[in-house]
Amino acid sequence: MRLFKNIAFILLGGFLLMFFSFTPEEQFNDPQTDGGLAVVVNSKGAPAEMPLSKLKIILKGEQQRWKDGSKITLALMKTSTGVGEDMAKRIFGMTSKELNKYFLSQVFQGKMSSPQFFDSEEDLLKYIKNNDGAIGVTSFKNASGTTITVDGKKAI
Amino acid sequence: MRIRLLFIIFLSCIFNLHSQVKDKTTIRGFIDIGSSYDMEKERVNFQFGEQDLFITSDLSDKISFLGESVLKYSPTSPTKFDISLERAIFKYNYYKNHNFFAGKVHTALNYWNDTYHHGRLFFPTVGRPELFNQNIIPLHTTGMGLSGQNLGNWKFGYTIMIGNGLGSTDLADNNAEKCFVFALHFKPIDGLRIGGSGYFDKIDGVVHNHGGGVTQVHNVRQGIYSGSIAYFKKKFEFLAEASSCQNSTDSIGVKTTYAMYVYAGFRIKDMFVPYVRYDNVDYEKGEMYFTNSNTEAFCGGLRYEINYLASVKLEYQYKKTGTTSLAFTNNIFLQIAIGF
Repeated sequence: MRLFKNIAFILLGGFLLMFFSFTPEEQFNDPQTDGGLAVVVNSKGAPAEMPLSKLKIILKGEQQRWKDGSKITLALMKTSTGVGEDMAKRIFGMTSKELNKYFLSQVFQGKMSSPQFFDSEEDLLKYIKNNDGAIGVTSFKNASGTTITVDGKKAI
Repeated sequence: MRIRLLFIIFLSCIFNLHSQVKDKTTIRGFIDIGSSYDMEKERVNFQFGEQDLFITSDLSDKISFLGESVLKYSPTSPTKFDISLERAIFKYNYYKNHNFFAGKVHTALNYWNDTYHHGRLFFPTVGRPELFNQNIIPLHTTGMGLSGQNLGNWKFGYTIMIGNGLGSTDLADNNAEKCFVFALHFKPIDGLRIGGSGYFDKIDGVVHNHGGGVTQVHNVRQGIYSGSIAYFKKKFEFLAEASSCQNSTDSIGVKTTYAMYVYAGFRIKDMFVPYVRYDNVDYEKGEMYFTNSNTEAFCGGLRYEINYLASVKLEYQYKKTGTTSLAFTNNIFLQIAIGF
């Protein structure tokens, strides 16, 4: 009897914890970024165009350097922003949670440097302009500086 | 020869450190707390796991540092807590995706040891598989080596390193023989990683084993061979690893230990992952280096991922150990793991 009581205690504690910490499931919403996304790069390092598959490899930190040898630095909008959430979905095919977990685990394994995350597109664009080899994603309507074409298109 | 080659690469890295200076340091932490119910003793316990401090620093566009130190309970410490340096890695990116590294690393043997380290937040189950708990795998190695990742279409990766062998400290080796580690893997499709690895060392008599205990007085030549297959996608998770460890002594010849585990999980509604894991460790009769106790274990549980920085696991574990007389344990664990 005592055995079952204790098991019930643990199970109840666990499920109560899960219940009270429950947050609604993250859904893919409709794209929030009017006009799509643009890929902005620093003038040093990045090519003028690339396929989406290559962009995905670069933004996942799987390629460390551009062809000219300069280090690739990732500049991304936080996934709590509309642009960041759209980027996670359209480019990575992930939810915000999946993308954040992916980056955290890769950095923890020592496989890549942590990307720079931004709250505002203005700050992101400034960072890309001032850092050799930087690449980032912003909304197409607010993009400035050097943008590249992905699969032949300026907007993703 | 390979030691000389690595040393030459090390020197050439030192003389090429004139890369662009940057300073980007990030400090993160991981912690786990939990509760367990021992079904044999009918007792509930509350537990504090490990507090893991994790530092990464980009010192230049080619040089980076990664440090991981853990605070954890230790019954032998006067304060009942110990601080241990788990990883301290200097890395130099010398060409594209190829790196030179030096320091204390998690030995690149097996997928689990190379991927999850100390952050319980990333563990798919509450604890490590028996393959690691039984001290068959040397978890850490201090030394230097070369690594590469995501090479070519199949995303080939490799690690080769030499280090202080078993029974050594982080400051000095206890004999002239260095341990040698190699690991290879490839990722033919998204989410799938297949790998193999090996570890070779000559261990002097009266040394510590992988877990820190002194176990034997014979010289041992050890070879560990591991294979792993990992598949983690949106819905389905699968991880299987097997290791064969051969300990060779002059007196009793070669004794082989086999250890394996299989893990599978299925994601429901993005946040819930029910899972199961089966472990088996089988020592050959006459094995002298390891604590010779065959083990079979099963666990099943539910992982609830609140967000990417917090998860809760509720797990039942059954374990059977022993070679001649068997011992059984039945436990239920509740673990809260967070990152901050």
